[in-house]
Amino acid sequence: MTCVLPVVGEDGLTRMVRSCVAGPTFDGTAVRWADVGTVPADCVGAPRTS
Amino acid sequence: MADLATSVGTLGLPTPVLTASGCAAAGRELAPFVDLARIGGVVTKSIMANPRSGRPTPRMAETPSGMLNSIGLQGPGVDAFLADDLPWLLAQGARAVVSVAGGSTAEFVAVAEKVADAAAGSVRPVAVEVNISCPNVANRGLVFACDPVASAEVVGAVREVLPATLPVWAKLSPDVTDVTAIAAAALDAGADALSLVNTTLGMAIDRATLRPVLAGVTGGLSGPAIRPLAVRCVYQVAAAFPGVPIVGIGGIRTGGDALEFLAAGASAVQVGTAIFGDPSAPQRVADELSDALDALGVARVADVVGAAHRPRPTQGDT
Repeated sequence: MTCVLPVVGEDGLTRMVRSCVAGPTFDGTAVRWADVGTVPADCVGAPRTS
Repeated sequence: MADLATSVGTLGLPTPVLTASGCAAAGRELAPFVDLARIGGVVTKSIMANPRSGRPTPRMAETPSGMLNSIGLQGPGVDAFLADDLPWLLAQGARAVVSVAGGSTAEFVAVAEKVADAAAGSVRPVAVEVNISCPNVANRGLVFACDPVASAEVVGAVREVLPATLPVWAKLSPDVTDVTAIAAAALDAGADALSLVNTTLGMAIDRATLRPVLAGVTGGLSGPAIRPLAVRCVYQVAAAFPGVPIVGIGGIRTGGDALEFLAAGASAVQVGTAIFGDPSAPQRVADELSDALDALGVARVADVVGAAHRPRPTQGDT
């Protein structure tokens, strides 16, 4: 997993959040567990595929 | 007690120890551990034009006496950085060196122009460090810093859009055959100082899965493992370009490590990887450097800068 997790913010946007600094405790429902280890395509600043 | 004041070209610093880019974001996470106004300066994480999520995980791997990272330049983008992060850092009294990056010369220029606009107001860094260890999208991902022509193009373009009063530091890669050739290109293009060196490319394999440890496959190797390589680059560039301001970077963990870089020709240093294990390292290294200078009977940092280039005393000299 290392440091960053895809976490949904209060604005509804997903950001890669550093668990070492912004955590280590998050609201579990805000973590996109199924996407851990990836950068979801709808994440803020996600690499563009085209 | 030795006088730690130093200068990088025209820029005066109270101590020669700064943070290295990418190891303290924009300083906020270090503030609980060190007085940001007391250390030499904070070099911010490289900022690009747009927000970036960074690469998938794992992004970091521990290696003998070092670490690999493949973060992918995660960041908020230059607009958010200039609106939120940099003003906060300056409000702490820190000397901020803004690291700029880009996937093209145009992106470097776009970021630098916004930094210049901010600097024209009250959001003024003390210098801009150009991170040319970025893949050049227009040239099959070849890192700018590995090509003297591309290095000069980026450094010259950034220099052109920044005010002459704002020093430009070019941060070079050690992954080249002749670092002095890249240094020459950067200096000819208008760099006011050279930051030596960035990470060197490395890789680790998971011995159970036989797959690369990092999701990005390769990563930048940093930490004490690369210190001799970095000292060598500083020494070679200082020998080739006497008097050119150099900021030494690479595996500095103690005041004695910093002293090596100063003797090789650097007038300031940056502490990076050590921060992850000891967030107080930028201040501690400065304190240890002071002790090391005292032990040598040296009164000022300037007295040891480039000392390794002086002829060895011959027998009978006092």
